[in-house]
Amino acid sequence: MPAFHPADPVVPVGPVLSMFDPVFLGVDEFGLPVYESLIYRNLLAGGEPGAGKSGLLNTICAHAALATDTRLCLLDAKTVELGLWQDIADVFVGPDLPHATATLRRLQQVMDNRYAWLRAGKRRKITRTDRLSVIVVVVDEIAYYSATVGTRADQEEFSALLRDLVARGRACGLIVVAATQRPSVDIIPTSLRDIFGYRMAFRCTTYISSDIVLGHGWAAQGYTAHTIAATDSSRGIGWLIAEGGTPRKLRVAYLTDDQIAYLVDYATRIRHHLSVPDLRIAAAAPAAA
Amino acid sequence: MPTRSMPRSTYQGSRTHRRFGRGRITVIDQGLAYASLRRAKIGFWIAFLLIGASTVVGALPVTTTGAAWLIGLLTGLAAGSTVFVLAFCWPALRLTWHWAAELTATSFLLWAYSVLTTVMAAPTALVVLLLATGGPFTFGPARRRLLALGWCVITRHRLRVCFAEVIHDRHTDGRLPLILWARPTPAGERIWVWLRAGLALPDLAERFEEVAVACWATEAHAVRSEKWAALLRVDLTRRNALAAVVDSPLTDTIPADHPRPRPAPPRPAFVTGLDLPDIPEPQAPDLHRRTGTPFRPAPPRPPATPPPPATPGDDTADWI
Repeated sequence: MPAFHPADPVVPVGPVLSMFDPVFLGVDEFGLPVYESLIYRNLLAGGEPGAGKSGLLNTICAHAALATDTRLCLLDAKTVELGLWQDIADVFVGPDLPHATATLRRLQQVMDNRYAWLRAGKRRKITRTDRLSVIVVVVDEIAYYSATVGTRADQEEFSALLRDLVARGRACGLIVVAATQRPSVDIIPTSLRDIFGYRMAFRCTTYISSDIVLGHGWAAQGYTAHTIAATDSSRGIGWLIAEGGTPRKLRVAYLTDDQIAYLVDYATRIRHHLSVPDLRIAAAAPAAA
Repeated sequence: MPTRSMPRSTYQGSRTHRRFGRGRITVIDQGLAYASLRRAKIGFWIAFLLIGASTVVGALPVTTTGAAWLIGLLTGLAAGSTVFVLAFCWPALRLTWHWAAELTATSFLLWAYSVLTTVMAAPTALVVLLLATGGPFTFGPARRRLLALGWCVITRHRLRVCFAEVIHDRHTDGRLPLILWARPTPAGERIWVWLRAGLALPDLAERFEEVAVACWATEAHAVRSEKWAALLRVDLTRRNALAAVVDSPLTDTIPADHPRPRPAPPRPAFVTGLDLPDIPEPQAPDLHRRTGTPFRPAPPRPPATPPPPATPGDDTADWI
């Protein structure tokens, strides 16, 4: 449980992180740190169970937690992968498809409102100075919501809403980070899979599975995740491809449960006195483009 | 340094040969020197004419015609001479750049030795210099840093040998790439290379294994710059940098005075049905029920067996 420190008169200054800053993901095969900017982008991770997807999601959640301009919206069918962040998440959805769909509808409404606000200000995207929060939507195991539970119509509605957020949410500060074991067409539509700006392939059983994540043809060029050894020491290793780039092999950072609890406790403290950005004030005087 | 693409006969009689012992070692071969001279002459005349004419045109409105021509002549000569010297000496400059680390280190040692001999005897100065040079190798972090830098120096030479082999095998008249600089990485070295006309990244893509062998590395990778096709970044891997668990630096951003959270007591459990016998077997109509409904925890029900007596420790019958 995070400590709220109500008697503490001093709220520490946060680490001045923002979701507009590059996010530390891990180290590459040359031992150099990998920082990637997630703002205006989305990320899809795929790989076998235990390959390191949750490590990636937790690393991104950690950055988002310490970035006080960020709201976390977590969808985790297992409830334990992202459950440690529940206390600072604005929304936490467990294995509940109606709740997940309703949350995506809320986010869609926020997105529409933000675009109306941007249009009123003759702008195209939000910036760091807009005092609008960045909303990070983290979905672990998409397959549960899109292919496992509920009726076909419910699943399609979830997929359609998620595709809308990925397709339109970039410019209004809505980042979708999703993970699944194998993003084949029976799990998420191809039209959704292909619009993720960042894709990361963790260990896969076949090169086809790796290509499904990274994109067709990369395995033939040697960028395939099925050659990653299935050992504990290889957990967290995967290929990350950014928009229009070449895949990079990296090992994502790993946070222990104690470290996450420590981060959540501190994030709770630095977020304790933060008020919700007054959108009415911001809407009355949108910053010039 | 003789290149394998040049005929042996071209080395003989070169004015750039230097005698070392009985043999002759080519520093800059004759063909290269001739080409440099030709380029230098062309560069001289182009610079002389362009700069000289521009200066004359610029000086005419502010001075007399004779003075303008004189200024233009002198300026053109200065510019042309500069271009001539640079173009003619370019092979030597490139060679100097290639051996820059060794030349710098040797010059520094000689300078340090000369300074030391002014205040102490020569043998003592030599011992002091040896101790000062070898001392850092006894300290782990300094030794690792120096060895990493040493590998960078070695790698530049090995990479040059490898490029020469590639050019030789392709039977092209491309010139050797300019190896800009190298720096150590946690896994090996990273080298920046500027390709000359006649060589491109696809020519090297199939030969990374040979590059790794030539540089005594595990793997070699190269990517081109997004801006210039001629600028390559070559990464050599000697160690597996992905073997260790990566810690997130975010935990270091938390102030040291922030207390560690106390272990929270487990929350009371309201979930039952944690084992298969706790879940009743479905009735016949339910066997054909359509699957796919969301999971709902089973309502609380009395345990099938009496709970164990309360103990101070954790008890899964009471806590989750």
